[in-house]
Amino acid sequence: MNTPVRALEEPLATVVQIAPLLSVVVAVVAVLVAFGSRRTAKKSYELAKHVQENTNPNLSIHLVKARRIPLEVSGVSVGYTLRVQVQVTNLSTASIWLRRAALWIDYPLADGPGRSEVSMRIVPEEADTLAFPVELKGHQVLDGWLAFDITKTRTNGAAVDRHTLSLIDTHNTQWQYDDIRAGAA
Amino acid sequence: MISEVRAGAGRPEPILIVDSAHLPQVKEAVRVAEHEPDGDVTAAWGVTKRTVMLHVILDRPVQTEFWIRFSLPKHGATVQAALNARVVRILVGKPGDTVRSTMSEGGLRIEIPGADYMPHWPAPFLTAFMEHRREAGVSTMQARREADNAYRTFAETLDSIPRA
Repeated sequence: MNTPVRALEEPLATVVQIAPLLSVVVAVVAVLVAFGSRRTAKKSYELAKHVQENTNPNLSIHLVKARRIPLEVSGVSVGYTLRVQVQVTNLSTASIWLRRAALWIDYPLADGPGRSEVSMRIVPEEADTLAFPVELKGHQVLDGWLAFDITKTRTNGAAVDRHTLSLIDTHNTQWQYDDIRAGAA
Repeated sequence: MISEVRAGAGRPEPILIVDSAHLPQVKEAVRVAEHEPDGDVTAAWGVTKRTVMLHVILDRPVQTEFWIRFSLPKHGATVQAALNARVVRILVGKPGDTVRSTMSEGGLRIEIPGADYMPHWPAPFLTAFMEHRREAGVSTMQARREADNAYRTFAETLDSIPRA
């Protein structure tokens, strides 16, 4: 009796006939989904990149004023104090903790160019002096004065060619303002 | 060696007088160190046959980099002292200078890694000492005994120096 085999033949024939068409439809759908995913992935990547740029620490230093004030001991000139007023802007959305400020000075040595760092003078009683550590929240602006004493013995009698201000955060990232030009006080 | 109450908890610190004739930045770093309250340094030990090297990278107040070479077995005690104290004081001078002639300059005090960062010490010293004695015609066993004695002598001497 061949009835069960005959009963299966027709549905099987139908499946065999429509299987290629079904495969094509599935493939087209897969390609469309893949393209859609690629666009979505690209958009997600651009968004993540934008967020990362905004949260990466980014500081801007604007030099408002710079003054060179003579340093004297018993009427004898021993050097000068460089006083700078700066405006520091946190350009990112993340907080930045600044832990110190320093001045790099370039001056000639007997054997070639020299470069060394001068520590900030701590004068807490002076108004508007920047004190460290200090936190700059996202997009916050900080304004204040910094002072650095540069004596003749400090540079071994040489004249300073260049002053560069450096601000350092708690991740040891440095931001610099190069070539400070100071007028007489 | 020098001990100061205000530095290194009074531990005896070795003084190294380096010839900085060709290293003006090192000379400047030592000079500037007297004017600045602190600085940043990275230091690492290296060992080769008969030589121990101390690699110093100064970040501030002067940016410079240099190596200090210690010949073994001649400078074994100096290396041991540096490992014990985990600090060295560097003065600049020329060949023939002594601590007395350079002491007024103060010097550059740098912290360095201790013995934990020089594995196998004092094996390099013992090996160099034994080779030196064998070159002089001493037998291996005798050279080994002398190396152990020499190391024990200066290690005990260094441990016996009181803190300031």
